[in-house]
Amino acid sequence: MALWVDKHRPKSLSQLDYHKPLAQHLKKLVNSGDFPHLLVYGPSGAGKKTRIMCLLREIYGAGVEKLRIEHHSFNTPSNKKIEISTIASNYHIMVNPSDAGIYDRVVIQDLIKTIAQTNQLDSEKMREFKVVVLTDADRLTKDAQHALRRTMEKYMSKCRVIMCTNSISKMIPAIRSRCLGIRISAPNQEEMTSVLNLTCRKEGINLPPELAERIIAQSERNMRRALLMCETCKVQQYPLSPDQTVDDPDWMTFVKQTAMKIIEEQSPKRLLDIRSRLYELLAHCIPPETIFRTLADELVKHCDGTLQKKVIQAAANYEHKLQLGSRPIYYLEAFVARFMAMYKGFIQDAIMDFDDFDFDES
Amino acid sequence: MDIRSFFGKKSSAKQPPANKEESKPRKKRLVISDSDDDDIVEIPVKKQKTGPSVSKVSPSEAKKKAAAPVDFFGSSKVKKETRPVVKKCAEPVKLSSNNSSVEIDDFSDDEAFEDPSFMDTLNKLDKKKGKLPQENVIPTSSPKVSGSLSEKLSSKKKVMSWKEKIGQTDKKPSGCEDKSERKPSKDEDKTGTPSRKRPRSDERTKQQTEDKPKVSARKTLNESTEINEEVQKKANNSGYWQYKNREGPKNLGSKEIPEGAANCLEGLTFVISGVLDSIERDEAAEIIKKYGGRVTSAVSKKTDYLVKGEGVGAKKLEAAEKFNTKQIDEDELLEMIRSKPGKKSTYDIKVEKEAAHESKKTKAETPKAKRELKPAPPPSQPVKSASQIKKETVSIAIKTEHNENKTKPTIESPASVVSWTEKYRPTKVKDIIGQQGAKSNVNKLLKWLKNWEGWNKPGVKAPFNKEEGCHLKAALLSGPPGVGKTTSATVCSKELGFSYLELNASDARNKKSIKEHVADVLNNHTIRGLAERGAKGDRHVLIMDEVDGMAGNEDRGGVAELIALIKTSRIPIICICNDRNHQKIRSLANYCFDLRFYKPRVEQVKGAMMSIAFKEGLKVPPPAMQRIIEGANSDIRQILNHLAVWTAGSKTISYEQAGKEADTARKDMNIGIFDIPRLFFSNGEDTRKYTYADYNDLFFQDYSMTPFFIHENYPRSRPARAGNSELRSLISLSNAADSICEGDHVSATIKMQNWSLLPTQSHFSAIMPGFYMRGGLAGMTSFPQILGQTSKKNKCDGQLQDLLSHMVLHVSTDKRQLGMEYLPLLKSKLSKPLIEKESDGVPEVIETMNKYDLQRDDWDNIMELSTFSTRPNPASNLNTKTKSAFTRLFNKQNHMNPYALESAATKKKRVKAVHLEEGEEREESGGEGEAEDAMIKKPAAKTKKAAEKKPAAKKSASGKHPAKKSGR
Repeated sequence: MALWVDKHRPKSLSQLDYHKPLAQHLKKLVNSGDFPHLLVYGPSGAGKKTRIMCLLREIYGAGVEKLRIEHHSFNTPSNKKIEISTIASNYHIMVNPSDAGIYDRVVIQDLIKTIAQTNQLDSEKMREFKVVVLTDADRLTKDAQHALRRTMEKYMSKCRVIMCTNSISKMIPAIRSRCLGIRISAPNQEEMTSVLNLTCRKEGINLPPELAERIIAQSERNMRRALLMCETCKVQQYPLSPDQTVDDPDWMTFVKQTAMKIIEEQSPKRLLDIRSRLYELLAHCIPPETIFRTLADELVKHCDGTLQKKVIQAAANYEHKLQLGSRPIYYLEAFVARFMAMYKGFIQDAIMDFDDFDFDES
Repeated sequence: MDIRSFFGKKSSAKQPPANKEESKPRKKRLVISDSDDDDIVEIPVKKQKTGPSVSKVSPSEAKKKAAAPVDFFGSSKVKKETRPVVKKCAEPVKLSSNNSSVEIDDFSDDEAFEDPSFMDTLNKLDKKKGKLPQENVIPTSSPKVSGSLSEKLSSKKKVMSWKEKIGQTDKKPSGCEDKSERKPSKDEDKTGTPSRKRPRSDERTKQQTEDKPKVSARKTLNESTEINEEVQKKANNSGYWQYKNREGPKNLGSKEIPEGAANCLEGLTFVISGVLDSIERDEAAEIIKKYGGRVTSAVSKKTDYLVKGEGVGAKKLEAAEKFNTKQIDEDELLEMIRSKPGKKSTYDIKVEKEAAHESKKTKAETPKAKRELKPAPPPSQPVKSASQIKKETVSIAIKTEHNENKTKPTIESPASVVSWTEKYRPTKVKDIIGQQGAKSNVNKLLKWLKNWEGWNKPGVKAPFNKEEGCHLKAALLSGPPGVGKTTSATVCSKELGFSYLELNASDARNKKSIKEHVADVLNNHTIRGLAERGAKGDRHVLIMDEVDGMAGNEDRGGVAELIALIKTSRIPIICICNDRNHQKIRSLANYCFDLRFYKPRVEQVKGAMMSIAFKEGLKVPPPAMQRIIEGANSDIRQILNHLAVWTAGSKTISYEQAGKEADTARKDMNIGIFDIPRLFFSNGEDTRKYTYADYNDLFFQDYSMTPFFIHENYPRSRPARAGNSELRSLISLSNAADSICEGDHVSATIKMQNWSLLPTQSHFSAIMPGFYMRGGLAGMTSFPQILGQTSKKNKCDGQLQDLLSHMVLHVSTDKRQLGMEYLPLLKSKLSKPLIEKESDGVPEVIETMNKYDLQRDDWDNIMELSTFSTRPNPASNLNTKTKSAFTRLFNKQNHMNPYALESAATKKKRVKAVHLEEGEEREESGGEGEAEDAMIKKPAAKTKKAAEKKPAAKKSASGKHPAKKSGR
């Protein structure tokens, strides 16, 4: 049986549980016959893709649900062969160009251009345009984004691009100006509660409100995570009880343990231990940004006011640097080393001035 | 001939400036030695005011003049010795002698006063960790003397005592001196040496009697601390760190280094221990070597003197006591240099004798020759002509000793065109350096060559003998460049009357050319050979030089063909290579008589080089020659080349010059990647003189790997700059980590073809972390994990991608969210039923898997991806029965997949296709489990299995998973 989160996913705009005005808006947009390129953005687990699928269904009907997986292969200028798989119906194609890594530009140039250049066979029955859904658009390299901008304009008549991204800060302004931005914000507490209750009712399960509250708190307003957590609770113990513990995912527990280890001892030797733990996290494909955030959140709990500020600042600083570099472990480690120094200084002398951090010669 | 004669000439030219300079340093020395706080023994000297101390210097000065005039005040020398410390102390020098005497008085009083506090600190320190250098001295009197001295307080005392304390706390008693002894080393001494036995001037002895009490005073204090030895042992570890981080000489450059007579220390062996007061240890060793002395690292019977410094190694002292080695301190060493009469180097004597002998001989032969040069042996005519004949028959270049023969007439002219390496290439077996012994490689080679025909006659079964290599048809000479491998091979063949054909890397040596040309040659008979010895008496050798260069496309298949050649050869083959363990050579080595050449010892080379230098009319002092040899790493060819270049201008080379040149030559040597981080973080003597450029060069030894190695190892270094403060070391750590991040930014930019930024990366990725964390790596240099971890990450990434591509129709998420959010739940959904209900849970799990189009492999991947080291993998909790039941049931069912199992199928297909061609299909068909392809199977459908497979595989083309045969 499928997981709840997939089983009970709304299929049409009218079924959506929250952001209903937005759904209405989208419906109107589609019914008017045409719509511009869309840039759908919002935090993870807010329902971006769900809404995109609902929108496509609204446009093309149930046909969009007949999906197939296609494999495409491209040759890069350096004659390297890259393969990418896409999900497509007769009306749309969903691509994640960042699967091709630094060669995403080739994907944009080849794949999207070919799709955009071909006409629909039977334009009477169908719409005149096809839809290309680009997921993870914020992971597109700058080159790829530039490759996209002209394509978007030139083939406007035959092709619409819907981009799905967590944050528009990484999209170049040229792209942003060509799209209608649609923000899908994370659901609020009530909305989440109602979705959880609805889902549980559909499953025939009684969800104690206290548990629901804790699940929501722990899911950080991520609908997907909340539903998955809820089901995890059910798998672990059924029937659900109000005082049941909601388990963190293993990786999060691991990060929290790492934070504790940092608090326990600050020494170069401990840094080496931490390093191997960070390596393990990275090897499990946990994004370094997430590690930064979780780690900083945990560490901050053990600091008081002034230090908290510094820690957050340091975490943000290193995460920013990480974006410019290529090896996440360096930045994670540098953050840990910095925290260790700050924390040690804090313990030894609470009034130490951290602004002048470089006490090299003092 | 004598070095001094040369000095004499030079000095006369430079006399006036030298005089000026001379007076200055003398004064300097007096004053400066006063600031030498620790030198207790010296204190009486200073106390005696200027009068005596001047006289102390002057006799040696007189001697100096007598022995070797002051040419050493040449510009370069002075530069070297003027150090900042000297400058600081230079002001009193300007004063008139009277004034300065007053000054000195003050200073010395201070020092005398210093003693109690100094001893106190020292005592405390000793109690704490250090080993006691003075343990062995007999206590004689009370510490009163210092007390009385203290009355002569001067205004400066406070400052001085403060300084003293600083110095003391900084001082690191070297607990683990013995560890360091492996290095050529130089520990030294500035504390009193009680067991002085060397005869001295009256004044000296007077001083000695005076300082006895003081020394003993310290002794008594020290003795009380002996009890604490156990504590000391415990402190060994920290002592080791202190040893690693110990400071350099305190009064670096404060003393004038005297100029002694040439070779005045020849025949004497020194051991230096501890930190000397005013000279770096390696510098001291340098000085000793300059005067012909030998510096070893450990005290033995042969050691003549132990030069002691601050924190002298306990073991060395012990050994010195045992062997009755004289123990001296830095000043005594300098005094010794100043006072000892010079000698004529034994090398010079030997060479001169030899030359005289030869000149007689050559004069008899060629009376015209002005400069006697070693006469080349008469050309071996038969060999030459034989090879000439061959040259005509073979298209491949044949090297004969043409050159040598031609150059002989030109030898007479000094401006010979031939390089020295060719000129002095040995032509007789006994001339080869370091190969005289009966068991030497050359002798082995000779013997092997001599017996070759005997052993390889048809019908004779050669016995297996590894020592003599009777059963082998080829020999493999291996060793570093410049030790005489090629020479040995050619000379041996000549000696035995073989003509030889030499093929080296300049000849194409691929399979074809070896087969066509060389093989023919081996079967040829030379006309001369036929003429002289008849049909069977033909003797020649094939020398394959530089066989490790037989690589690349040009020489494809060369080594294999060579091996084939060896197997069938009718003549001996000598192969020569540098790296015996090279991949390519390893197969060849099995067929060869293994002769490994090692570097000759410095002494062996030195003699030969000195005689060559003499023949060329060069004045090279033996110590200088030693430096050159060491610098070239005993590579004889390089030594000769260096000599030729460095003496191109003038026919002389001084010790300093030789040292400098040898150092520059040495820098080109390769440093292993595992040593690079060690050097970056080292605070020891090996990097004390490193400049920024040196570190930069170090980075470029391997610019791609060094950043990784630095990152891997920097937390293992203990920053010396942080002292004992944990906070400071953490700050250093953080700074180093920051710098590594910056380095990563630069490397990211470099990847966009900005290669000119590499030095910037060097700065951030290696030099700065090295700067922050300098202090010595603990333990071994570790190999960077980042490489393994990155590939691990990529593998997991690929697994996740596969997983997502299988599930993609049913989930709406990306790769990362899938890993972080779906997998934990999926893990429990897919493992719990199996663990709790065992076999009964199998259908439930399979149902979930079908829903998400998962494969059996995906199950394993999910378990792996969602498990961290803190928790066990649920897969390991399953009992095998459940697991196999699960696998069986899963494979039995047909799974409709929306995707093609492309990668596995296509790969197998290709492998299969190849196998089919080669007719090995039958063996393979049993082993292959999953995803067998009917298209491949068809032609081989004889087996029942394949027939069964066919329909299943057909379905797989339409998106169906082929049933797996073999359960796991």
